[in-house]
Amino acid sequence: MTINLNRLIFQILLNLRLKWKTYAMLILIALVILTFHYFNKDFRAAEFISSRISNTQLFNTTPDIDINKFHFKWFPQFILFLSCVITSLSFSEYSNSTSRTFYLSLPSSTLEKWLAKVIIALVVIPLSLTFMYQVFIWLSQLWPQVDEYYQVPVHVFDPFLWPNILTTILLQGIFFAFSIWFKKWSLAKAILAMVVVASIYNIVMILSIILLNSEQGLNEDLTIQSLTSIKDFINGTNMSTSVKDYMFFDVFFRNKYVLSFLSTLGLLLSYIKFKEMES
Amino acid sequence: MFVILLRTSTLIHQYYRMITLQNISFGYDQYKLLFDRLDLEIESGQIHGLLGLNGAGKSSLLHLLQGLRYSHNGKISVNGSTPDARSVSFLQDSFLLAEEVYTPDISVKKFIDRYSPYYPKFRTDSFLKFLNEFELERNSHLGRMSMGQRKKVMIAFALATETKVLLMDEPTNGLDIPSKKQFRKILSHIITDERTFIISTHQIRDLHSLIDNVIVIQDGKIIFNQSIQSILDYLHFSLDRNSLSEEGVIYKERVPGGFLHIRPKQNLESFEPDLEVLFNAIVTKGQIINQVFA
Repeated sequence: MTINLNRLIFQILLNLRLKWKTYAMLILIALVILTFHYFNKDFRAAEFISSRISNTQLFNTTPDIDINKFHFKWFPQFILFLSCVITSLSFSEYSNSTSRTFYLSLPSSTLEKWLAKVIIALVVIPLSLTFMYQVFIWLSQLWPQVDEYYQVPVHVFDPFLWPNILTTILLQGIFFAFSIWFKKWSLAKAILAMVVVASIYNIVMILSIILLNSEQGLNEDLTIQSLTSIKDFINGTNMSTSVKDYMFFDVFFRNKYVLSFLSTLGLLLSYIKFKEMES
Repeated sequence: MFVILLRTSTLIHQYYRMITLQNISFGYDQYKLLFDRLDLEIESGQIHGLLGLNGAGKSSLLHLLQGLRYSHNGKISVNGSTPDARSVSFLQDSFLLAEEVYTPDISVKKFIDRYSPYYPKFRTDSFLKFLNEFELERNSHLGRMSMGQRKKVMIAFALATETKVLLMDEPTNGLDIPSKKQFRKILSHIITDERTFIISTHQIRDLHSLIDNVIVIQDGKIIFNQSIQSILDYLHFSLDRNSLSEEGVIYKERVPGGFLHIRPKQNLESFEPDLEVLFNAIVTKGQIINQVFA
């Protein structure tokens, strides 16, 4: 396992040069959709009403005033979706035998080639997307306000920002592994696999709470609520404070640990798979 | 003193044996091996022609030598390195020109700027010279070139890397006739004692004047490995109008103008070996041909 900093930087630049047009196109499409969405008054009104009904106070914003949570809602989705799509393209140049032969033969160590892609997927892309969204926010401040609601921008140092970036980064390991494992439709396959795993995980968690009463002090509340209204259970309404705390803190952090484990495993497996890759 | 002599002799041996394969087993299917205990030694300073029928494993052998495939058993040494470790020093001194070339969608100039720094011995002046000989321009865009033109760019790139080992899989496929001539001319000029070229080809007539050594692969084994000089020394090629005089003939083949006969050398005036006919002879009567060299 050899690593040379100059070659690593060269490898990062090579990867970015090779795919920047694809990345730019994807980001542009996402921003055009967001801009269209931003100016679509009917859609925004519907969103505002929906946010009032569900009374989502999860984010650290000014509560109970008529605000436009456009950026709070779309920034996490923007960064998450684009990061996952871009990471799924990490090994696209290895998807056909002709280019695979060329890139495997390129004089750079396997670790350097792999690490360059990891750095792009886990550092360069999430941070670049965050920066681009900041530019989008800045531009949106210059545009005429299309409704009467006060618009809340997402600032770089907003504590809301970093957990979203962290979640995005944690997910990349999984998409990274799928991008090397599956030469075609790796994004769709990764999403499908994650939905299946998350569903099984959540079912097991819920069943363990309900049937085994494994969570001390919470079982009664949770059992009754989950059995009476699954919608309330999912939305978190009509829950006691202890259940809410459990759902939004304990489960949240537990999921982060699980995600961190899966992501690290994904990265490790992707390296092994890459090392074993043949032409 | 003895130790020094032994070491020197080992080094000299290693120097000339640029590539060695010992007991190599390899296959795409675990139960059907393409190579079964394959042994091969290839000397430096020569152009080796790797011949074989379709599916004999010529391309697979080149990929094994470049470290792009892992053998099941055995040991491969190329230029003192184990290819499948894919070490940087090994990759900097070995280049595989695939039959179907890959080129990114950029200009030739950008291609050189991006990829030539990976090869420390890359000579931009040589590349431009080769490009000129192939009548191509450095400002041309690879994405707008024909397959043959892209292949010429990659040939020029491969030759300009100045790697010690250059593996070429069907390099003349897709080239026009003048380009084939240029290719032969360039190759004959750049071969040195330190470099080894292996050319896998079906179009042996395109390259017969270049090749120093003929390697034939069949049924997972090397069935023939002789230099052109040995072939000239041991085999007699004659063109006869008819096939009536077949005394001592090992192999005959109808060619335009009569029959080409291969006999053991009898101090007679001989034609230059026709490698295509020789290949056919080896594939059909390999054992008898090899007995001549024994």
